[in-house]
Amino acid sequence: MIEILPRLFVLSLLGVLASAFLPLIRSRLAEWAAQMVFIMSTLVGALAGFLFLLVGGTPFLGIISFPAVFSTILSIDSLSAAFFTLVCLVSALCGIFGLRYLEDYREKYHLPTLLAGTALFVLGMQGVLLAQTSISFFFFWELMSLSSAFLVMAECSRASIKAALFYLTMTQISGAAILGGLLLIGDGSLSIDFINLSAAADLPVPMLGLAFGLFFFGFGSKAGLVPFHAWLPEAHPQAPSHISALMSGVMLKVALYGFLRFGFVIGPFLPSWVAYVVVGFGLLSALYGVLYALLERDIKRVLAMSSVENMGLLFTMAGVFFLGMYGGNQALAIGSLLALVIHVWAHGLFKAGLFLSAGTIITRTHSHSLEAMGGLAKRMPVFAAFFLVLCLSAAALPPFGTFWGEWMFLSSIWQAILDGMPGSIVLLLIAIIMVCVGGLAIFAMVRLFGISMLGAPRSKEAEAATPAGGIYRFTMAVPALLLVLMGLFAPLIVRMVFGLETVQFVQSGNYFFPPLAGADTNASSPLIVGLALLAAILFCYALRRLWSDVRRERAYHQWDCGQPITPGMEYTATAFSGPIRFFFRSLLRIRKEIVATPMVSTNPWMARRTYSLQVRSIWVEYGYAPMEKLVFWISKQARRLQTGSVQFYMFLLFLALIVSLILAL
Amino acid sequence: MPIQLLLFLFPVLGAVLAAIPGVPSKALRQVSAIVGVATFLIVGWLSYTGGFFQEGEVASFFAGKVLRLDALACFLLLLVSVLYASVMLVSVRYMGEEQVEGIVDARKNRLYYGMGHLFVLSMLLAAVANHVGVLWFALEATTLSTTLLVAFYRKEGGVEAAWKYVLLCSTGIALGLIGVLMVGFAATQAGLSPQEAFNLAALRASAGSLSPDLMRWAFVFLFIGIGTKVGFVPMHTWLPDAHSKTPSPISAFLSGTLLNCAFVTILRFKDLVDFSLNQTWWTERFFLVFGLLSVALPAFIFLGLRNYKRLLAYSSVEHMGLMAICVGLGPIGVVPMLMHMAGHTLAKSGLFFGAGEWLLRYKTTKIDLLPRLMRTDTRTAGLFLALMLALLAVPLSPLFASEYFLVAIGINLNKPITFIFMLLLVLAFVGMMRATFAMLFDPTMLGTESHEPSREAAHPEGWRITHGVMAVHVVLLVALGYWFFTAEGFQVLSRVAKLITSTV
Amino acid sequence: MISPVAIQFIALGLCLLASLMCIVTLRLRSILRLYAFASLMLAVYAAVLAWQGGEIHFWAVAALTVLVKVAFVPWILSRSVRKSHALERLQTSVRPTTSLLLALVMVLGLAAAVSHWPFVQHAVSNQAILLSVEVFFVGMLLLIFRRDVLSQIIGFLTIENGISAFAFATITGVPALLEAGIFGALMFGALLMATLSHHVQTLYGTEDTKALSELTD
Repeated sequence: MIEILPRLFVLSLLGVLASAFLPLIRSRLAEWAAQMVFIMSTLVGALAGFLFLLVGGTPFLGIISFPAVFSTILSIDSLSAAFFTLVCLVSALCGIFGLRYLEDYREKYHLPTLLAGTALFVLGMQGVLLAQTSISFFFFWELMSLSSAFLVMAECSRASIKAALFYLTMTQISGAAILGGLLLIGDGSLSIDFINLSAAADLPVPMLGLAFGLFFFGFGSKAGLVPFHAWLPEAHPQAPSHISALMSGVMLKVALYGFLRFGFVIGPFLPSWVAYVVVGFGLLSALYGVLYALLERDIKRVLAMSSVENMGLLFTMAGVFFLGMYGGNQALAIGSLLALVIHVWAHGLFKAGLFLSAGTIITRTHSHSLEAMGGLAKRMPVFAAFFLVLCLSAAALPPFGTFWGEWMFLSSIWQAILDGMPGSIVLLLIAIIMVCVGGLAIFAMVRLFGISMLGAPRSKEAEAATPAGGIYRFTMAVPALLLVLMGLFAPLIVRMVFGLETVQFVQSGNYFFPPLAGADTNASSPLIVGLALLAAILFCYALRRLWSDVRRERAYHQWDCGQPITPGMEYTATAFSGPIRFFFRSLLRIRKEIVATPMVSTNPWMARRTYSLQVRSIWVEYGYAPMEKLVFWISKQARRLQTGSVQFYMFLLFLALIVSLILAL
Repeated sequence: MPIQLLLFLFPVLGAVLAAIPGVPSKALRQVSAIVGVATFLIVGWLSYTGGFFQEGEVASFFAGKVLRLDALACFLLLLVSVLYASVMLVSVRYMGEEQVEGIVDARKNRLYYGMGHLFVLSMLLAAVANHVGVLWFALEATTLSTTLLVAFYRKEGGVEAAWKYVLLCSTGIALGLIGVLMVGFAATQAGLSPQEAFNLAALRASAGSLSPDLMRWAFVFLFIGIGTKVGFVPMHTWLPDAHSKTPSPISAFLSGTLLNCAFVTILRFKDLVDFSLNQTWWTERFFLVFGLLSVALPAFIFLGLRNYKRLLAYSSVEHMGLMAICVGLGPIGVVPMLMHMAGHTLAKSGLFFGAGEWLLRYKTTKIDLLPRLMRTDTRTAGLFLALMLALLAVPLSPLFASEYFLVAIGINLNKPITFIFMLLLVLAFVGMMRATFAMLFDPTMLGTESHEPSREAAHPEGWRITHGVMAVHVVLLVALGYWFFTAEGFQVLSRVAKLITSTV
Repeated sequence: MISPVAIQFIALGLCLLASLMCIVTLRLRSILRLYAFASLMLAVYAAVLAWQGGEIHFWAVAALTVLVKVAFVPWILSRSVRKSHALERLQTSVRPTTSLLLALVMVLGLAAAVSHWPFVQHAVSNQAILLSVEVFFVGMLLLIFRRDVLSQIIGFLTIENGISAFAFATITGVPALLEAGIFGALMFGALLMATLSHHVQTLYGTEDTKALSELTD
């Protein structure tokens, strides 16, 4: 069993690589073959990763190594396998979605490049997860970043190019930071093998702190942590929907993986306050992300900001893990780590599913704006049911996987507080903010579902929407189903996947990774919770059936004040978020404008009113924009050196000579 | 008659042919292309048999050891001759089209090829020169032979650029001459015979006994003087003018190899100075300071550029700066420097070929006057993008290898400088990408209000020889990027590097 | 009887003086004459060295200097100027008195700094080195101060003179190959610059480099 696994991984990688080059042959058949090969090989990858987790007992498996000066070695361990399986699974889903979606948008996108780019992007993610040396890690990281940037601008519109450029900028800066970190902990060697990473312990603490800071910034900005997140709501909505699904669903996770991979190594040698820093940024992102998820009206921006929120939650979990380790509270650490892995999976699935559904919706309504949707539930009921499941998952409600992850996290925090862990006031604060974020997330998801699906259609396109086809439904059904299963059988999955007795995440003894044996996964059985919930729903239904006088109910048209009801009377997405805007107005940057133009000059009361709301970000306004301005200002000054006067150029030459002579001699 | 002199045979033939009045323009173009390819084959054969893959110094040849063919010379020769072949092939199309359109007449055509062959001749000479005087003369000859090419179109901009080019570079080379004389002075003081005092190999053999004081002075003059020719900031001012006004194939040559020849010349002298000072740090500081300046200024300037040929020219300044930083990091940095040099030569020249294609079709170098090239010129645009990415050091490009090593070495030696340097690289990346995206996808993106409508080409884009050459460059880049990571490639480069770094 | 060393000194001193006067003069014909005179003094210097050391090599150099720098280069320049009908008056961006003052300050400064130069311990003749370096830098100043094309050529040539003087003063036997290269490069350079200045004149109708400042991106 274990012998053929490396071959499966190699097969998957080669298949994805092949699908990147197949579209070079200019024919429909080649395109179709590329898509098929892509789907098959990602499925093989998912299978291989899953088998690796299932077999257990082997904490570490070498896959392939290229003989070169700085060898490129690929290998897999439990940590990377957990992420790898998710990446492959979601990629396969997106590939399947693409079969239909790209057919619908054949004129809009250049298909061969898009397919090749997608394949390279997935290959990059796979490679990052499997890389075992710093040079191969960085190689695949750059591959992932660059190909995704080109995918963002697949549409070639001005807005998408700008978004891609912004994304490229951020990704280059974060790439530089990561490279710096890798080389710092490499301590002089050009390319280190991650097996030998524990040698980093010999480095002085400031150096390790610097490396940790670089990693945190590098991976954090890639993962969309506030305040390095500004590229995310720009880039994710611009990409084709299945690419957005890949970016939001799994690329952000790959960044998290990187942070964990190196955080586990450096963490033990750092002062404990770094845990608070991680938690702080995590909570900030969660809160900020969920607020903007509530405010945005572009459906894909809502989802992108929800990703910021979820990445914030994940980083909070990682931070609490560190907190537990520094405080010597193993139960807390294990609890939050398990919660983290569950949440990674849950978010990967529901966010990919939601982006794919957003794509489907956009194919119907031809608009990104929530204000142009509505009434879709009546027109595409099966779709709406799956969409509801995904939205509820995103809102972390039971009985879905997401709920279980967050519940586990909160209960282990609660347990730590009860145990009287020092600094429990911080833990309490974390729990409170988490709950608050959870509440706002429910609000956001209700808004998302309600405005887009319920009510009457707000545009002609929405009115004419037709039910989504089989592939569209299928790609939503799979994550929805998996989320339900995850919710119901979570403890079983955890036990199965992590083989509690034997598996350590990472191989070397020097890591501070606890044996997972102590984890009590039976504390709350979600299956029972789920069944109880189901029972409650049935009970309510039965109550109504039995006690209410159903037979005398009759259908009657809505009370309309004597006027015809139009979609213009509906609750809008903007209005829905009004209360939240009011409460958090000091945190948000909003400009509201109501322009009244009188229709009759004599009567000021009869006027046409246009209401516009601009949602901006304080980070962009006070951070990014001035920085950009500064750089352009310097650029302008630098160009003044080229005066065009040859005498001045001579003077520069002369000056360089004299100054060098004086300084150097 | 040493076999190595075969090297010069074909360029001389080409130059002679171009000098004959009344030679048919088309024949001249085709023969020149053959000359370029033949020279490349000869260089390839010479390098293969004559030392590129062998250890140690290779025998000097010709008249009292005036020339020699060591691994470093082979490396430079290969770069020059690859480009010679490409440029001459592309010129067939470029000059042919210009003559059809009446921009260039038969006399101009002869001038182009005559000067072009002489230019290559002087670069080949500079690469193999062992005599300091020959080396100096060859460098001066590169300036003189290209001046008329810069002023080729006799338009205001061209003549202005040529004037600045010849004045600044000649002055720079004159400074270099003082440096050369100071080295000679130091050598005669140390008791070398006048013959030996100007022979690089002999100087290297007895460099330990040269007076450190004199060598320091000599180095400052050499560095500033020849550095002018390399295009280090702040002596770079002529470069964007000259490189953007030349006919595009020649721009490829200027950016791709001429700067390398000057750079290697500085390195050869640096090695002597290091020997005499018995340390490398003193000279490395120069490379570091001027390298950082040369990276920083273009990195900022990219953001404001509207002219794609100037963009490429400034990028050459930046890459020379990167190579200087490599050298500034110590002897170990020379290997990534060589990788960078090879990668830069291939990528930049390919980009200039693409730029030339657009200049021919749209008659403008302003980005905002171009149409959306990805739509109208898909082939050129695709290859241009690939080469641009290679230039910006994405994985698989040799520049990825070199910049990775550069950062890896730098971070151990000097962290603050390395971090500043990385930020500058990001800035340069963004600036270049921004301009590239504007050209390929949306020319109005740069935010200028252009009053003219974008140009349109007379014909749809066909398959040209230029595309073939650019594609070959892409393939070569990928192959080199891989080869440099293998043990063999790395060893070959280390052997080359040893020729200028075995000092300390 | 004046000693040969004194003649050397006087020759180089006159060379420097002529170069300094180049900075002051604004007449086209006189700057060409001054350059020819400075070159002639250089030839005299080489001749004295040859007579003193008894080397044939230096005789050849002196003869070449006279041929190339005193005769050929001024001739080619004046021909080009005549052909393109350039103005007799030259252009400068710094007033002659100010530029002379600055040049004098630089000359004195260099003289004061001379004791720090490593050549002092090694060289045959300190004054010769000092004077040659001063000629070199005067050429530089000429390039920086003067706006018209012709003065800039003269500036470059003056730099070249300084280098030649430096070579004579330091190395007794500059190889013939290098020497030939220098003269060749000088000749071709002067030819090229004359051609270019002709182009400038025909294209812009002026020799003033103020017109040559279009490329400012």
